[in-house]
Amino acid sequence: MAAGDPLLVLDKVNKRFGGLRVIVDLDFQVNEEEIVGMIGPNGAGKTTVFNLITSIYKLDSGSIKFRGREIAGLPPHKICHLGIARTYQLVRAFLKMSVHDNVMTAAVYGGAHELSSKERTLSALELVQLESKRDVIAAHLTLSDRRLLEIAMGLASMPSLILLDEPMAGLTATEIDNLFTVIRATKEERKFSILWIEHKVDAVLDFCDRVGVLDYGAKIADACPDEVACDPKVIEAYLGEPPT
Amino acid sequence: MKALYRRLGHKGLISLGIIVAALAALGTLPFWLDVDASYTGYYLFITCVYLTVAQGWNLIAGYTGQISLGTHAFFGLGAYTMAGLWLNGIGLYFFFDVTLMVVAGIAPAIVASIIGLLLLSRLKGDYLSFGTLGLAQIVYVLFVKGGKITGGANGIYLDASYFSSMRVYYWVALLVAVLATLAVWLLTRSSFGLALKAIREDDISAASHGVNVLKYKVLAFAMSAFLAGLAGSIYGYYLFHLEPASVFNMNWLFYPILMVVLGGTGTIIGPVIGSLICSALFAYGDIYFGGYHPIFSGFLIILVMRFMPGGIMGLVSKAPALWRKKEGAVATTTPE
Repeated sequence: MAAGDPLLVLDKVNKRFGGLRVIVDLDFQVNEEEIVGMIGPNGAGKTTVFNLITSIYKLDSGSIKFRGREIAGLPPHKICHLGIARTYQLVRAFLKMSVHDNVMTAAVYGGAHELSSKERTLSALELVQLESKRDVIAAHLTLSDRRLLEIAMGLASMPSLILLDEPMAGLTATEIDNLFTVIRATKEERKFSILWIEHKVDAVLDFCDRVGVLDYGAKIADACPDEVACDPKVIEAYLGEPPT
Repeated sequence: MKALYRRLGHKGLISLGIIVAALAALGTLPFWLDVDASYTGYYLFITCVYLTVAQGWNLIAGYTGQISLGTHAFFGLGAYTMAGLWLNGIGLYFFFDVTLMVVAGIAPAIVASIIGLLLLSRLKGDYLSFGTLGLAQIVYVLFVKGGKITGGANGIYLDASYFSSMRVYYWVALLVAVLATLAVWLLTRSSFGLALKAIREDDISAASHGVNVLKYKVLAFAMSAFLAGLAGSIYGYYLFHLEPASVFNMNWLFYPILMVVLGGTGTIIGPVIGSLICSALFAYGDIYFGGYHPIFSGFLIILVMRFMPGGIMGLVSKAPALWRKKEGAVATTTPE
């Protein structure tokens, strides 16, 4: 598995809620050690894609392959064990448990690994710089610390792909800087791939190797950040049709 | 001693001391108090039976967050399993036979696993509660209509000549309640407990962090049924006459819940305090107010829900935070 080999491949994925087609024939790919952004206007179906990958929703048709293996239809915990971790847009840490217990849960149940779950918990807490708050109850953390906590929980299972769902939403500029630094440093050390949903387009364009754009559940662009930023279809999706 | 101090710390050592002293006092009680003549003997016996059931409910509802309303079915199944085995001559001693009692726990645990696989995979929240209640009522009616197999509404009679003294009842119930409390405590402090609490907090998130949610829900449900069945078998030994109306009584559902909620849901000491208080209220209420006493337990439920949803342990854990607030500092941690 060298850098650049296909890791996650979505092929003609479809999902509808009642009469509404939320994901339309979506093809998407994330390669080993790649950072891929996924942007799109509100309601474009970005989070739905995450929920399909992590099997919270069942897809209607199409296939999702991880390292060549079909994962659509597997239960969510199996998908975690295969090496896909995720964070949620509205943080879903275990609020009444301590920071340490949150990460420990993810380490113990995240799948077998040569490092012990204690070691993985400590190293994840160190990477996101939350060691000093290990005994704090998650409910008492600030939003930015909760986001870091969720990232630590993801790291504890030693994933090869992390799905980040708008990690920057609601954070101040300083907190965003800090989060970037943490993610960059972590990525340096662990060499995983990232699929990143973000509303802050400029952040994604700076950080990612490649960006896919969703609009009404269909992919309208998929290229390097510079190209995507100039794509008239993308500009139209965000700003509306140009006046004629 | 030094090693113990290092492990437990100051507070832990005091708690350990209190627990050892309380257990020593309770364990030797029949030697300095006539448990047959005094009402206290029965009171403590029934408290221990309730506590065993309550710790089981605490495990599934308090720690795992799955509000089951089927406890009375497992309690009754345990009692009937014990009686059925006894009457068919299975077991060595019949009267307080450890094998019979363990099987009386395992039978409802198996039923709970089957029910759990069907219900816990499909229902959540209120729907799960009503689903378990519905199934419990089905079990009750099956026993009422069971004809010769279950003895129908008249139930089963056991050989009451075995009864000699409350002493053995008291000791067995105390031992089982202590073991049940210890087991739940150890379970919830292990990595198994992490999975249960994670499911309680957010089951979707737990699943995406690798927890096999259904497996742990079913395991917790089966263990809670095991404890209910075990308690049911002890109560069956006390009754000698088992009828559906008594061992499947909804009191075996509601009273343990009240005890857990009053003491503090999802804490280990809460149910102990709750069961001591509640069974005192029920027992003495019954003596002094007769048939009216459920009015008081009803009021108690309303008051607890309104003023202390965290139960007594909730108040205890809040006290230091309230104190700090008075002094102007912000609390950063609270115990569960």
